[in-house]
This record gives sequence, C-alpha cells and structure tokens, in this order.
Amino acid sequence: MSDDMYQGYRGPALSVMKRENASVWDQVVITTPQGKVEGIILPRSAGDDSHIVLKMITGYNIGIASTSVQSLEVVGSKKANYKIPEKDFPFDPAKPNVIILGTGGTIASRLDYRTGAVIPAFTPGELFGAVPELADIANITTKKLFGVFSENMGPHQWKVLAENIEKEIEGGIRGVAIGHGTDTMHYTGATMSFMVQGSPVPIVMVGSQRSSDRPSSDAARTLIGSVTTAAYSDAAEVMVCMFGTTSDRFCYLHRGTRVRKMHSSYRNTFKTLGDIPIGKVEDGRFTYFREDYKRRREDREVKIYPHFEEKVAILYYYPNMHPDMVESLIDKGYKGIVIAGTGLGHVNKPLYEPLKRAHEEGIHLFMTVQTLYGYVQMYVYDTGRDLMSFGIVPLENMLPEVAYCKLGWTLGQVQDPEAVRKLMLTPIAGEITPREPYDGFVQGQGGMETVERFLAEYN
Amino acid sequence: MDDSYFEDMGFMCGMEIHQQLKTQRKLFCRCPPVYRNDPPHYTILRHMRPTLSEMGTYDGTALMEFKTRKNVTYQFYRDTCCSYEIDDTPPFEMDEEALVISLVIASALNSHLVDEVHVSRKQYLDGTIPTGFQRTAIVSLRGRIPWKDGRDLDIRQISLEEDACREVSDIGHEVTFRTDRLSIPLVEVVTEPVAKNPTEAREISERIGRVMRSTGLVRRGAGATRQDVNVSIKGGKRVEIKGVPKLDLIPTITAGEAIRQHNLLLIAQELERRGLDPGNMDVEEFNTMSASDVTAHLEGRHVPSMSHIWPETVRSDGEHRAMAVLVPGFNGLFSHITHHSQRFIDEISGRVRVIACLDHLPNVFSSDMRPPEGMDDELYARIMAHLGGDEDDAFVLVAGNEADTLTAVREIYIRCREAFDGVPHETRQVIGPDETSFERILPGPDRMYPDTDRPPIVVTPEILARVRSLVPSLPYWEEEEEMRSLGVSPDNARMLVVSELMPVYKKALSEGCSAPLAARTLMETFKDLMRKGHDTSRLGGEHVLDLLRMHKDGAITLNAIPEALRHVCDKGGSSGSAVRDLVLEKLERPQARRSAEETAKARPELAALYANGDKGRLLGAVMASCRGRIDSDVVIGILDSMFPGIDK
Repeated sequence: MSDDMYQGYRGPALSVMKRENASVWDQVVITTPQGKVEGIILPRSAGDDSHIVLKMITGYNIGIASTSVQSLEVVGSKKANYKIPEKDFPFDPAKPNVIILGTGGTIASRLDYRTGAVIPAFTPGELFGAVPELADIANITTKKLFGVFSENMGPHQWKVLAENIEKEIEGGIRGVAIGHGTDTMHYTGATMSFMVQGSPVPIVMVGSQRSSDRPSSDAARTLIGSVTTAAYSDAAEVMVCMFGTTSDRFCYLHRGTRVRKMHSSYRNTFKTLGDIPIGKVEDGRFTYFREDYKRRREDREVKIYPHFEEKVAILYYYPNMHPDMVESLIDKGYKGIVIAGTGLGHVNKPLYEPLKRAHEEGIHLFMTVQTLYGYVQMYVYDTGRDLMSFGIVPLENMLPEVAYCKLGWTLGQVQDPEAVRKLMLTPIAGEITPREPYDGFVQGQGGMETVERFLAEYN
Repeated sequence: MDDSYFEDMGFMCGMEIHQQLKTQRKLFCRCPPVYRNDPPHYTILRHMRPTLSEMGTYDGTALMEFKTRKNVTYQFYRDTCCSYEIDDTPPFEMDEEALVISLVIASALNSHLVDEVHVSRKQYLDGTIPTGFQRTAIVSLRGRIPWKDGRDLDIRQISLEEDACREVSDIGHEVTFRTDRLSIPLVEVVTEPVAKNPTEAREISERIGRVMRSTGLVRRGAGATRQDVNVSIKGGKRVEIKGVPKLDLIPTITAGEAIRQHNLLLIAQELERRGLDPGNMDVEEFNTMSASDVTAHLEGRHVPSMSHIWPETVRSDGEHRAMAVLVPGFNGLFSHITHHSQRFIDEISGRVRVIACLDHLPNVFSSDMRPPEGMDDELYARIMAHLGGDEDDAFVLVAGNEADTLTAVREIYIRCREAFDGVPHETRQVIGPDETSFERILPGPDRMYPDTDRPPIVVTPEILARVRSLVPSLPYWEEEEEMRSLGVSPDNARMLVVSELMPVYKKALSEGCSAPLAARTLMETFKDLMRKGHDTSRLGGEHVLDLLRMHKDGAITLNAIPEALRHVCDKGGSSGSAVRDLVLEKLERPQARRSAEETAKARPELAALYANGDKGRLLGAVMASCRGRIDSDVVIGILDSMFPGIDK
C-alpha cells in the first residue's frame, strides 16, 4: 500500500510527503519561498530523490525541491484510471477471422496523460477503439499470452506461443498475427519457423518502432498491414511485417529466418539479409517479390515441435578473446555453442585448445559469421581448416541469431552429434539458402550520387 | 476607433512571445540551428494520427486534424538535419546553453525559476512537428516587471521549447514542411491578459521583446521573434491568433479580433431574438438542417468559380458534387459583417478550407449573397425550394470531390451550431494587416503529457551561478536612462540598449571613452556604412574600441573614426592599420600651423574674409588641407593667433 502511495519517491522527497501527509495523486497547494504552486503530485519514475513532481493545471510538470516546501495542503485527490474504455469489435460473417496473440509488446496503446505511461491496448474492443480501420479488414479476436518486454522472451514463451498457434490453426483461424516487441522479434520469428512447420495460414509478427501514443506512430499501419496479411495473403509462412521505409508507405513481409533488426530506432529497422523479402503490403494490396514461398492451404494440418534446449550460447568472437570464455561455457554445462566468427568464420589460436576440449566433451559447435552477410567458408584459410578439424561445423549463410534459435530447437529434438549436424544443415524455412542473389547484399553507401538520388526519390 | 472604445468592450489581451535563442546547436539534437534555402536533399512522407486521450476519446483538435487526412511531406538536409528531426531517433540531452539562456531571460523578467525542469510533450497534429508533439518545459513561474503609470506587466510562465518546422506549402491534402527550423531552441513567455486595449497589446510585446534582446543571448532577424496573441472581449471567448510576425500588426489584428467577437455576439443575440433553438441542432443527428446533392440543378452551367472542379460546365461525373445545406432561420446572417471585409460566411469558408481541404476560394456560397457568375436568383430559388426552405431560411452551397464535400457539409452544420454560442474557442492565423482566418480548434490541456524519453534536469547551483553571471546588471529601461544622463541621444540609447553591440559600449565606457561618441559610432556610423554598401561584417567590437581609445588618448580626431571603419569594411585589417594606411594620426600643432599659414598665403581672398570676421571659408580650407586630422577648435585657435586683433 505504502509503495502505491509514494510511487517512486525516496529520500528527502519521501520524508516531506510523509511529514505533510501527502501521497501520489493528491491535489495539493505547495507553499515555497517563491509563492504558492497548485497541482497534482505525480509518481516519480526517474531522476534524483529530492524533488516532488507536480502536474499543474496547464498540463505542464515541474519539480519542486523538497527543501523549498514550506507547507503543503492537500485539497483533493485524482487517481489515474488505467483502463481503456472498450467498444465492441464489430463482427461481419463475410470477413475472415484473424487472431492476434499478444506477447507484451506495445503495438497499440493509449497514454496516461499524467505520468506519460503507455497503457497497452490489446483486447479487440481496445484495438477497435485505437485503430477502427481494423474492423474493415477482418473479425479480430485477441489472446494475451504474456506481458513481457521482448528481451524477456525465451524458450518457455516460445513453447507456449507455438502451442497456441497450433490450437488456433486447428480451430480454423484464417491467419495469425503476433504482437511482439521489436528488439527480439527476429529471434521469435526464427524460433517459430522451426517450432511450427507446415502451417496452412500466414503467421505474421508485428510491432512498432514509435509507440501508438505518438501521432507519428507506425503502429496503426503495421497493425493494419499484419492483419491484412494474416487475413488475405497467400504466403503461409512465419513473417515479420514492418515498415519498408521511414515514410508512411508500405510494410515489407520478411521471412522469419532471414530478418534482423538493424537499427536501434529507425522505423524501417528490419531488413532481410542475404536475400530479398517475400513481398510487401501497401494499402491492402500485396506485391510479391518472389515465387518460392509456401502457399496458403485450406486444410488444418500443422506440426509443432515446441522443445528447446536452453543451454545453448552465441560466442561473439573478438580479437584477444581468452580461452576462459570457452572454458566457462564447458564448465557450466553448455550443450551447444554457435560461434560468430570473423570474416569467413575464424577465431584466434588460443581458443583452439578449449574448443578441442569442448568437442571432446560432446558440445555441439557451429560457426557463423559476424559479417552477417555471406557464407562461412572454412577451407580458404588454415585457421578454418584447423577449426573444422576440432569438430566445428560451418553453417553456410545462417544468421548467428537464427543459428542460436535453431541449435536450441534442434537439441530439443535430437542429441546424436551426426543427427544434430544433419538437422542443422538441412534448411527448414529458408535459414540456409543455396545461393545468394546479387540484390541480397544491398549496402547503399550514403554519399554516392546514385544512392543519394535513390534516397531523395524513394524514401 | 480609439482605445477607450475597446476598453468599453471589455477587451483583454495577453501575449505568448516566442524568442529563438542564440545557441550553437539545436535543443534536442546536435545539429546546427541554421536556415536553409537551397533545395532539400531528401523528403519523407508521414501521416499524423490522433491518439486516444485519457478518457479513451479523441481531443477536439486532434479529431479535426485527422479529418483533414493530410499527406505530410518533410524536407531535410543531410548535413544540418539528422534522424532526430525525422523522428527516427529519441532526443539527445537537452542543450545546456539553451537552458541557461532561458533561465537568464526568466531572471531578467523576475520570474521564479523552477527547481527541476521536466520536459512535456504538447500534441500538434497539423504536421508542423514530425513526432506529432512539441517538447516543451516550464523553466519559471510568474514574474513581474514595471510597466507604466504605476502598473506592472505580469508574467504567467516561461517555457523552453523546440521550434517547429517551416511550412513550405499547403494545397488540398498535401502539406510540405522544411525541418531546418525544427528544434531550434525557443523561449515562450506567457503574459497575463494585462492589455486593456490594442495599443497596450503592442506595448507589452515590445517591452518583453526588449528585455529578451537586452540579454544579448537571443537570435535576431526575420522570424526570430514571433507572438501568439490571445484576445477576448466581454461575453466572448479567448481566441488565439498564431504567429503575428511584426509588432506593428498587433494593434490592428487585436482590434480586428475584438470587433469580430463583438459581431459574432450580435449574431448570437439575433438568433436568440428570432427564437431559434440550438437544442434542435444535434451534430450527431444532423436533423434540423438537411443537406442535399444539388448537382443536377447546376448541370450544364458554366460557373467560373467552380471551374477548378468542372472546367467546362457542371455535370454529374460520379466524382464531384455540389451540395447545399439548409440552415433554418438564418436568413440574412451569412452576410452579417464580422470584421473589416469579412462576413459570417467567411467564418464558414475558413472551416471548410482547413477541415475539408477545399481550399480553392471562394469555396462556399450563401443564399444571403448575390449568386456568383454562372448562377442566378432563379437557381437559388429552385435550390431553396428543393431544400424545403422559405424566406426565413438560408442555405450554404459547397462543391468538390465527394469525400471532402461531405466533410464540408458537416463542418458547415457544426459552425452554424456554434453561432448560438457566439465566439468559438479557436486558433486563427493572420491573413492580412487586420484580418485573420480560422486555423484550428483551440486544444485543451489534454494534449500535454510528460516526455518519458529523458530524465528531469535539476537546476544545480553551478547552473544558477552561470545564469547569474549572464543576467544584465540593470534592466534595460534603467540602462537607457543612464545612457541618456551621460548625453547619449534618446534614439541611440533606445536602439543600443537592446543591441548586440551593447557589450562594446559598456567596455568603452569602463575605459573612460565618451558615451555619446561610443553610442553614435555603434549605432549611426555602423548603419551609415551598411547603407552605403560597405561590408560591415568585417567590423568587430575591437575595431570600434581601438578607435575610441585612440580618440580618448588624443591620437585621432572624431573625423577619423568613420573613415577608419570604412577602410576596415573595404580592406579588412585592424583599426590601427587603417589609421596608418590612411595617415589619420592627429597633426601636431606646429604642422597644423604650417598648413594654416600655407593656406592663408595661397588663398589671400579667404584670409581677407577671415580678417573681416567671416571665418568659415578659410577654416574649411585649412581643415581640408589637414584632411580632418585636427580638431576645428584647434585650427580656430591657430588662425585667431595669426590674425591678431580680429573680433573673436
């Protein structure tokens, strides 16, 4: 209770509030040497311990030093109401049914105007209130599976998610959308690609880079794009649906095993690496860039493989890495290691001994490249040949994060070294491609006249 | 109409004065605060979407702006705009220099600095800010400076905020903004509504503007100072007129708004007198007024004011339509004058232009006015009959593409409903020297909320010490008084006290130079050189100080100062080198005497005049031969001693 009364206050500021019998959400008149100030005491989320935050009638906030408070009079209280009023989501028998599974990312939200806290909108009624256009596309139901920031997603959440997807598909859903925080969306995209196989319907991951409490948010457009894709696209794959450019124009549909978040804040942060996206969705229309995607089917058959070995690590190599980095993984009982090596797939000599030992102790070792683009090619230099002789298996052009997800998943299915090796090298959902097209590596360099012209005209 | 007329009306006016600050970088990113006029390098496209309010509803302004569904294009530059301006990265740390300057201004206005600065977001959906909100923070509360006749000028609050984009164009559903101005640090000073008439409205703005400029820490030039003017009269409502660019416009604009509110109140009274019931005008129901498609009535006519829709003749093309809204009991009111050349129909027109994006004017026609070319009374009568109206009623006609016309019809209805309340709460923009037009509905406090991207900033003792060292030691009006008491002309004192050259004047004074000469040189000589096309950008404070020192030490005469400065403008270099190059050093007395004697010998006729008491011409000739390098009283002394016995 006291936590709630003094949300975030500590030290001198807390003492003053206790002394004056005031708590968060109280409407107060504070007397300071400079005069009286009226407002509502807000919770404190950041900063020091010696200021009280007051929201004034103008809507502005200020901080008052606890030492300036001569007296404080409580005149009322206005508790924040964190509930979003719901409106019934209209049902239209002519429209396809789509489910949105929630993992905790804030795809749609409303704002608490006093604290600035973002309150997720998630029930169909809340979503309809926030993005009414959704009702023109499909009948939407929602299911909140977890409420975690995406960095807290892990094997347990993936398993529950896969099981729910299976249940929805078997129940006849037309398509699945998954609301997800963007930070680890590509990990979940990859894992779902392995856990859920042969889906007859689209499984579309969606998030936003600017939360929907902002007028410039990308959330409504990505949400509309993902629901449109789940309802109408004929691509029955695990995909990520996010902005294609920073402009409000279209969303790309990225294959779940080739996509990666490439910028900490841009809207068009997701890129397909070493290949091209499946297509794009713009104002309800699909444009497919390729033919080789799995098609939607009318049957309800889907296989799920939800087991995942947790003791798997990515070892991001850097010059001067000491052997103890590998040794500690061995000593802590890790069962599989994905190395993100330099260049074509290399690490330094001091790691040779511990890697040999890891192999001898039955740890599954795989090599990927930290260049992200391109294949592991371990025959080219002595180092690569040496490493392979210790049992390290090159993973072609599988992205390091995807390799991590696949190794965890693989070890959840099989343990025999040869079986593991074989499964890892057998493409399941495009995580390894036999060839890299020329346009799979588009690294337009700013400054080049052609690139500048492109940016000027098409972004 | 004089000021007392407005005082009788219950005129009240307060100002929101925006002043850009002179900083090295922008408020929330590290880009330089520079304006660009070269073609932009890139553009991006965005849409602004209203967000749900606390109550799960949409704010009035927000909803209105979403109705307009604008495509917002932002222009930006690779070298002076970054990913912050296009809302693709969170804000960087607030520029501390800007914070310090804002606190200096607040202190100069005797406002109480806050202990801790919290950044808030103020929503704007018109696209002027790519995020959809402006980051703004209160830095001080209240404040008071002396004004006139024993009255004070009261300040309500002062905030530090980021400037918005510059509008490049706004046509139909396409609006374009340039992001160069975005996030330039700005101080907003909000006054209490202390002005009782239009003249005072200008005075308070000017007074606060001068306090800010007297700090020497603010940007100058076009657009660096802008004011939003809040006007109301008794019975009216607060209306905000955005971005009045010049002080001289304030009296005419505020007077115009007062008259407009007065007339809108008259219209409301007339509606009441006619016994009309606003309760019948439920906007959701849209029931007492009917709107009808009247395209068929206009079919086949060539209407020049609709030729942007139908170039030849009006026809039902399935894409465009003309609609008429019947407004019962409103006969004669649409032509009611509101202010200057504006009538009530222009209130409707403004709403339709902004909200329905039908911006080809005239965009609405009323049965109260003469039909435009291509239409006639007979047509109007047929439309009225079609709508089922009679001689008590009026209609408003609008045409355009189907979606926008439907929006327009609804907006016409809403604005007519508001006529019963007199003055709607709104923001208006300046469209002429004394005219304004609708810009948007005045938003409520609901659009303010905390910015969670950065922690609050404590105003530390270190910051306060810096602030104190920068606050002008005297308020400008006392400084001005002191200048005048030292013999500086009132004009020069008035200009210099808020000029960037003030520190040079103060330095000269502290070194014992002549105050009037320093002021004259800094104000008049500078302006004169600029007017004559000399490159004054080459002049610095040191150039002036050096010359004033030389003059004080008797090394040069008064005449040498402008000459040396002109030489610096044209050739560069120091003042000392200018004096040497032009040989401006003061002549020693023997040299001057030699020169006087030579001149008197060469020009006996002038010498004769001098001897007879007509001194001017010989004096002039001697001064010319000395090229002004000697003070005239010295020359007179010499000449007098050469002609003993003349009348001194």
